[in-house]
Amino acid sequence: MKAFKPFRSPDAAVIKIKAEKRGLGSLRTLLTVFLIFLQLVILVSLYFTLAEVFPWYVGLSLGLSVACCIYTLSSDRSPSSKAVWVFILLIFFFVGHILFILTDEKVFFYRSKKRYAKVFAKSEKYAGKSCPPSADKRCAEDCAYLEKVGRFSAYGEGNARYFSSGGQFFDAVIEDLRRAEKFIFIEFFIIADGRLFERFLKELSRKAAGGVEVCVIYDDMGSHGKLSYKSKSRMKKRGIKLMSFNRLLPVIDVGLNYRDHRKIVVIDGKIAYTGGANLADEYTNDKRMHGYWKDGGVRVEGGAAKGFALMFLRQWEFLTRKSVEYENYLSGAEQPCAGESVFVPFACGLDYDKPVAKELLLNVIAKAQDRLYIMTPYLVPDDSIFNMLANKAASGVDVKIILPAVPDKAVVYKVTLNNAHKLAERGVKIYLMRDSFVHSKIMLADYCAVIGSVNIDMRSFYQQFESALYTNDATVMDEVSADFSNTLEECQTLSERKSTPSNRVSAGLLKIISPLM
Amino acid sequence: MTENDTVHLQSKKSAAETIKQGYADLGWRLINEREDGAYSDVVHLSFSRPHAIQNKDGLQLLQVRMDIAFNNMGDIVAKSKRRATYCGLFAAFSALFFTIEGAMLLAFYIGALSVALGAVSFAFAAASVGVGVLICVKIYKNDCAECKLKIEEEVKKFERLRRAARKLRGLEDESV
Repeated sequence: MKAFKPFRSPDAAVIKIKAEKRGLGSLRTLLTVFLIFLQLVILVSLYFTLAEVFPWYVGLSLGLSVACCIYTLSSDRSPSSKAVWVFILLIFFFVGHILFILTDEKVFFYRSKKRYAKVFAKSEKYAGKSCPPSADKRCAEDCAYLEKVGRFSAYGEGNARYFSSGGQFFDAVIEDLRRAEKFIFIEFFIIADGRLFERFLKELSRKAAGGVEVCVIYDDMGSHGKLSYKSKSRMKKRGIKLMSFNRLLPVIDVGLNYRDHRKIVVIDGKIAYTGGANLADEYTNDKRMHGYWKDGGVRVEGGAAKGFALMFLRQWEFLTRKSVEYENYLSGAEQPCAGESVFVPFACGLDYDKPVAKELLLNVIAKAQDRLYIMTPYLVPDDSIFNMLANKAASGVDVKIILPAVPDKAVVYKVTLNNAHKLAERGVKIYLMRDSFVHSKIMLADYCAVIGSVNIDMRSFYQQFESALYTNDATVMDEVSADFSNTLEECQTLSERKSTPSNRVSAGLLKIISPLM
Repeated sequence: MTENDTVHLQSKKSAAETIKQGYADLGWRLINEREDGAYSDVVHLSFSRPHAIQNKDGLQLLQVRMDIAFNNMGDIVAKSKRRATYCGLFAAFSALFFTIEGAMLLAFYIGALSVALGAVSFAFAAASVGVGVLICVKIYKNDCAECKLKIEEEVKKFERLRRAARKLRGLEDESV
């Protein structure tokens, strides 16, 4: 007998893909947010109590905030960031100076920076010898810059291959994992339970059981609520070494804002991968989030793989606080510098003195002469990059930027579109990939390509640990160019913005907070 | 052994057959179908296809667009009744208001004026119903006509997506 079901579904959706929901992750997040909020309330109450008992404290606060303003204005921060900080310091003078001091990396990152410096000093000799400068002067300058600021070597052999989707990227990774013999290094911002994780776990478990050393780093905030305790426990039980980056604790700590956004896979120091995709089902479109997920990545062999291995090992030594025997992983003959191609794996983050990725991208934009194509999920550049893009378009360079039509974060997307409209007004061609979230982080100029985890936003430039590959390899550039052509067929041009009072007000407000994004 | 991808979805019963056809064009094979335990108009469908399928990225993008087309059709149908429903509710509340007002005037006040005002209120109530019905029917007819055109557009879009999917899979372009 059929069950009596008098009710019709209240959901208007005709079709819904089922996704597994993890309630425990949301509970943990809520609890963490609540505890941090509680601490904030306590701190503010303490402040007002202090101000009531010692009235001169208010004057002292104002004085300290003004001193911080002067320090900010004379610092090396970007002009837009300076403006925002001065605004915060003066409007919220009672707590602004405390916030400012706590967020200064010279304060909160002091000890970590010293540890990173020791790790870098110890491992510098394993960076490898750079190949002679490229005949292309622009490329030679970029390589010289990367060598000078970060000791990133230019490798002559890479046998690189580009992937135009997360699915292709991870299928290739898994294929290579099956052939690992000595060690596997994996570093992702997000590692999440799901089908892709199970496929990885199956191969990694097999390899660990066979004596291959498997080391995995995940970002604790990025993977929060996505990688369960059970999965972590399973990995450890199967002999996989696991480390989390910057544990997310329910304590007010500005350092929590700084995350490991890198995506690196290294196999035996001979093969390496980097790109935009994380280890989660949405990146292969096995799980539906924000429409079709467009991503990209690159595979390199040879010397360039060693560059990524070095990057990983430094992070591993920093996190484990145990000395790493680099020669066990990075020994071997120097790779030849054959042909004109160069491959430069590079990283950025607080472990470097300069915002390496941002400055390299700025250099590439400045030197582009015929074309400059960018795919990025977020467009929150600082003034230097914004103006350079606009000037290039005005100079007749074909500047195209592909953005998502489907956002993942509403506020950031508003800022992105705001910046996109302003660039469009200055001649930059902006495209939105229909029904898709573009997660690729790719820049293609007429003479080089940069593929990695670096978004065109302030977080990637100044706060996050990132990884990428710089190359002038013709094969990779052709593959990237083909991907741009194919993707453009699925895009619509950015429509003209309606200039309404509410649009202008919201654009102004978003402009104030965008340097902090 | 070939590795297979699976997808589980829930859909409105009325659209299930069309969804199965669309997903078949995308290379999915139906492996399970069951009714929802609570709702009479929902079914749960499970599909499977080989992991390594030709032009997978293109097929995934088409699948997203197909799902969007389905849900757009659902939105269009839901919206077609919305304005007429709001109009009807407004007319009903107006009629109720005037009826209660008229009844109160007659019940609590004495005199020819109150009787007259009460009668006027009842007349307004009747007019609300009459005018409301006329306007609602007109709005509903207009919205249905508009909805029909929009649904036809979405159906054409869906058929284009099906053809594109078959083309990507290297199948012959069968006429629909």
